[in-house]
Amino acid sequence: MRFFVISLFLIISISSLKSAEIFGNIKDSQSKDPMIQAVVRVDGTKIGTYSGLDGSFRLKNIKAGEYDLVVTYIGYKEYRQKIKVSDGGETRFNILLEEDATSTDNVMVFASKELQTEESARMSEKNNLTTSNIVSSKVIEVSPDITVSTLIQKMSGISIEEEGSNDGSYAIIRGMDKRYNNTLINGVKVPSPDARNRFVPLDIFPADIIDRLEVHKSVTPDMEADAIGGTVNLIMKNAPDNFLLKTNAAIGYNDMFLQNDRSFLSFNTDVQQQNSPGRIDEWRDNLSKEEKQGVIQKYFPTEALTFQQRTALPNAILGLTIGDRFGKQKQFGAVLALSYQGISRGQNQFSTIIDQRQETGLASIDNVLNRENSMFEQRTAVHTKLDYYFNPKHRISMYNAYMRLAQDESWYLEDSNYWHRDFVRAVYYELFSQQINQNVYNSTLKGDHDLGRNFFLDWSGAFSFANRNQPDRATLNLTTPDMSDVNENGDIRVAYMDRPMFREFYYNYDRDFALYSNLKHISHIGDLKFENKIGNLVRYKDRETVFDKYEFRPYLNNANNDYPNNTDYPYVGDIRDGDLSGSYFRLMNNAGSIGDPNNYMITEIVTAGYYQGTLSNKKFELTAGLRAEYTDLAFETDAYRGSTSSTVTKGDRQYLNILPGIFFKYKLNKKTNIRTSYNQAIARPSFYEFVPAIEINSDGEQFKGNPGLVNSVGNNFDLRYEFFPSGVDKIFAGLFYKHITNPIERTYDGYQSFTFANFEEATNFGVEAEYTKYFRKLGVRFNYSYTKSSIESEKIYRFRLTEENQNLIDQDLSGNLRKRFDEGAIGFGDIAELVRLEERPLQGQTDHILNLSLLYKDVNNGIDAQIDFNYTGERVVFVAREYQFDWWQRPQINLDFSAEKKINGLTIYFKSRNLLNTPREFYLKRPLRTEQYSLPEQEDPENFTFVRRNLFGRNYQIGIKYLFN
Amino acid sequence: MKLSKLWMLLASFLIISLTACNNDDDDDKDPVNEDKGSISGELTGTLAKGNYRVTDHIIVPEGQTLTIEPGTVLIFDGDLIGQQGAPEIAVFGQLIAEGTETNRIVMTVDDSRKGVENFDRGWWGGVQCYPSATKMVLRYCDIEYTGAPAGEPINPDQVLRNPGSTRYTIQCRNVEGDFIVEHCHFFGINDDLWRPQGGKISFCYNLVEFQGGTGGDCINAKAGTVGVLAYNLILGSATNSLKTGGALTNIDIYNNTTVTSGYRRQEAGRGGSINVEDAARGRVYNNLQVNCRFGPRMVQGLDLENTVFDYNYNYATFQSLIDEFSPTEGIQELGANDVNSATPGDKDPMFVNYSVDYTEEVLRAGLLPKLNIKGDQDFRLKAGSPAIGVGYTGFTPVQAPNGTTSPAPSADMGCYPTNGSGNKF
Repeated sequence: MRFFVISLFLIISISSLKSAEIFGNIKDSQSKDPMIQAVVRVDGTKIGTYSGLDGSFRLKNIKAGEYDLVVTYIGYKEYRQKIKVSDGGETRFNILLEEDATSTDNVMVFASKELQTEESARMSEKNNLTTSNIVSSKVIEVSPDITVSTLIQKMSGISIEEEGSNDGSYAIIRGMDKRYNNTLINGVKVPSPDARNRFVPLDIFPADIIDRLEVHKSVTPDMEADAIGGTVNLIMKNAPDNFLLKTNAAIGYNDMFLQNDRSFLSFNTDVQQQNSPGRIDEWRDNLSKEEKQGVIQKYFPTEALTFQQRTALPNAILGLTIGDRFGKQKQFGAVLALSYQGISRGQNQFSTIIDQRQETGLASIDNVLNRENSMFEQRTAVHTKLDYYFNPKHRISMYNAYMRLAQDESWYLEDSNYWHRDFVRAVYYELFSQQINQNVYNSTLKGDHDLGRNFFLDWSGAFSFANRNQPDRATLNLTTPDMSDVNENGDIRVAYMDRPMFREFYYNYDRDFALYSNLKHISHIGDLKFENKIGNLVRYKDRETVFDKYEFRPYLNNANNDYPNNTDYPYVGDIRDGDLSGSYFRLMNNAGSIGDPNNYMITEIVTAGYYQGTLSNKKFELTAGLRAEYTDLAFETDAYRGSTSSTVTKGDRQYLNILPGIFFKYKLNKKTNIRTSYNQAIARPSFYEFVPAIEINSDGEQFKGNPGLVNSVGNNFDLRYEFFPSGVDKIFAGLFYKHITNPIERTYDGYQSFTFANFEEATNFGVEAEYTKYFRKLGVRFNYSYTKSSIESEKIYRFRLTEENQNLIDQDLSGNLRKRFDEGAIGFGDIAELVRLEERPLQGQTDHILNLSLLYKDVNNGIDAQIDFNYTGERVVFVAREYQFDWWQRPQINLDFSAEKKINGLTIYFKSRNLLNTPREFYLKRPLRTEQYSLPEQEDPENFTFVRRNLFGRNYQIGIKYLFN
Repeated sequence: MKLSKLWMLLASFLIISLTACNNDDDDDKDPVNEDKGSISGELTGTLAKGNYRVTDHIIVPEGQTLTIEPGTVLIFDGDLIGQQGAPEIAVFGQLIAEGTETNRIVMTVDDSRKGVENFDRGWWGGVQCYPSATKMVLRYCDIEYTGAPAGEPINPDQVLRNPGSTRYTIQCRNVEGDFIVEHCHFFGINDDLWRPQGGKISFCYNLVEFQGGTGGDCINAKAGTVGVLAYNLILGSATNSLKTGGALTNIDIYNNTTVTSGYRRQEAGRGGSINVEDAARGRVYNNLQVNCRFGPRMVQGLDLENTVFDYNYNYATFQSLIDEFSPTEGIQELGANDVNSATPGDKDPMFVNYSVDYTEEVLRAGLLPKLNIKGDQDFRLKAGSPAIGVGYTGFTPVQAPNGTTSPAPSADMGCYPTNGSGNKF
């Protein structure tokens, strides 16, 4: 069913004054499914139309007379019927199209599996073993979204984790955050460029290179098991059956940069060192101040902190897809897709730094920060797929993809220090720049073989590489010595460098080599179909991270032995410009961060095997199986890079998970399924959580990885009712329950030391409903989910110890308080601290998620329009270490709009995102100290402390698409 | 910047230049000391008196004790290229460095690296008591030119600072440990002098000069540290002289003299003299502050119910400083029994040898050696000083760590009680 395969010569016109109408429905004669965009015309006239989304059509203004009504659809026999039309009459036709079995004659033509259409997506949702949701590229194309990350949050039960200025990087599936979900490309797991997470961030993928986006909310034994929440599978574009050329170009702008006082802060990115200089041997303490400055400039050029305030560049989006099948039997297919997005992003952020450890349990504000981020983001993707049929039974395909996300970000920050009082005590400024370049590469060779005797084999060999480079991240802090410099002089500010300048280099890479194979045998016993499947997976992965941080302090004295001090380097003028000329620094650590815990190497070998059997007939489908995954992980802290120092810490860990799954689908009728399943899945700890290197924070607290961590195991129960009325319509209703053992959370020893540990359990329950319905020109897509989860984790609780609450002493999980109390180090009336459990929802879990899309599609006029409404309820975005001080994100409403108009082969389109300029707001469910009620943005301080608001502006783009096939 | 301000600065540089030249260390090296060559690595038992060149970390293993004999001179010979290689005394067990009043232990650097202009260079790594360290005694020691950044961990299971970050001159991290620093002389300290993260501490009778480059407190106690800070003479700390914070932190601060502190931290409202914050508690009595950027300060969040600031003596010769005896950002009013200058120069404590021959601008510039080095200045009280006998002695200080006793408070303000029982410098 190719509903965009349309003959170009069809011309739609309106003639006649007094006339008749004919209307009706077009359906597949076998399945009775509506045929969408079938061509309906009145032979011999210029009257014609396409059938609508529900298969219906209406032809107006037909003069009286006799005609042939002709309906055509590729792959179907032409329908032709004589009709007689009289003035003013209305006639209804119910037309059944028959599939044309003979059209290919004796020539076997190889066609790629159709994945782009919504119908195929529905078909997969219906036929998959798993509980899944699928969006096709046809939907993606007309949606307002340009990256996978914004697209996925419109799917049922999914929200997105938003970080920094980004659109959001990771899907939260049914309240389960990134730790619990894996990301696949064409079914193959690709490594992550993210140093602290195993899975690929979704904002790296432009939306226009995928054929479909699949979310599997349960995993069968033949799928990778690290998906307690689910699996996100990106199916990349396949070779089309016929020559296809598709191009796309758009420009856009963010209205944030149209505001008068909001410029884009840009910096030169060409001169920075791309790799850490490591140990700088040229640095000598006996060099002169000027010579030292020369060394600093060589490795840490001032350009990183020299800014231009300019107008933001317009956004540019370019796309090209070209593909065809070749050969007599079209046995060879090839597709190439290119995508480029250059986007200027802005973010205005209001935030606070809160003291969350006041013994009164009230929040106390230390600092109030206003930050202006500017980011130029370039997203590039190249993807090719070649496939070749040796014969109908053997096929091989080669897939290559390269994705790059390059972000140049800078910010200017004003930090008002209240220090727990109700007036500004000092103002600091921060200038910041960084480049983050993330690359993901995957190459997969895949074979599909019909071995005969009902045996089928498929195999894949994949090499993937991901890296992230963050060279020369520069931070400069300035401060005001006297508040009068801020208050009285208005724009002319004087600030001094009395705090260090930092330059950081952070690089990591991940490499995967993986082999997958699956063998399937199908047999029939009566009307029962029996499918046996076994398979295995071997993956070798290694990862390395390298980190260096350099600290610079302003010069206090110079070679002449006189003593200019830091008041000699005041910063006068507009701080946003950043200008270090005339400033001298001393490099404090010219050997970088040798021994820093962020320097480590990991290797991990995962070996897995499974068996699954499926028994099915017309009424039911039952699948049961077992998957075993063996993980063998080894780490090495590379404390002294390039040497064999005795301080290198090595370790390894092995564990085996045996994970059963049982899936049952009852086919109530052809259009209705009831499916239920139980399966076990795992979540592996992040690598950095393993590495037992110690990291000290600015308060002197230490974090240490825990090499004793084990996988979390999830038990998932699913139940879903599915009704597929016709075409792309659907009605789903379902519920799920998850029980997770050994979830990983932070733990505290009561004495300045944190680590990660496996906790007892977490639970997660939810209901989901989906409704999709198309009328003739209108469509509605709706989904709603409710999720409720629970986990207990350790928190620090500070309170004043009294005789009344002394029972708390023995509730201290660290045991520290009891000891100190018995020693007499603490008594009644003293402020005490203990470690206790606090229950909360899983991080990122949202209670209500509602999506509503209204679609308008007028095929005759070539108009598509769509409004997306999204409501995401509140959630914990940041798990605090302090009892009752988790950060919550306020519920938010997003509104996006897109529209397009086809004119012959060209389509002009408009997309807009974030029409409400929705703020992302965080708050604490704790009251603020009374004295600080008057602080900015505190609207309900008796109940909540407002901690952050981010604004991103509205995005508009206008573009043109050209499709040739 | 106004012209007059510039002139002031120029004048101050001149003064600094004149005074700086002859400031090389001339103190307590025993001329008869034997040169005993280089030492490094694990050391236990007794380090006999002599002159040593320390070429790499001195490591005192867990469960072991190193005792340094009086009169020993340690020259820490850090790598000129990478200060992360700069050696430290790494204590995983116990360190006893107990000199005598006449036979002090010296921990310093080569003469070529000394000099006032190098005060914040941080040539070596100080005394690092790792979490397993149970005891440190530094008595009658001279410790200079510390604060080099940390290098690769000596023991990756025990880390005090991230590699590349400045090592505080003294650190400790054992809530059960006893850490004593008494009668020591510190000069040229980059950043914080001592950051105790728990343990029982005594920091008494010390002289601290030129501490902190663009920031750093003399004492910055956190995380449940218990002890006393008493009878110290502190000149020119970059930020605060004595600061405490953290739940279960209980430190009494009394009879200290802080002079011209808080001026190398440019940030408005920062720096000063004594600071108690973040759930810490303690008694703050009998401290004498001279021309400090701010008076003693209670920061919101401290254990107010168990903390007393009173009977302190604030002396200033500039009105802007008098205005901040009770710091604007603090939460307390001045103690009822405090003695304070009402006008510039009022309530002169009548030091034996101290004159204010600098301007406010020079003071605020923070680098005039006179403001940071004791030199021939004498902060003892002349007879008839209004600081005599007006303090408070009606409290028993927190019990000091094993191995010492908390000194009794004195009613004479500051670190030099007239009976001579206080600071010996």
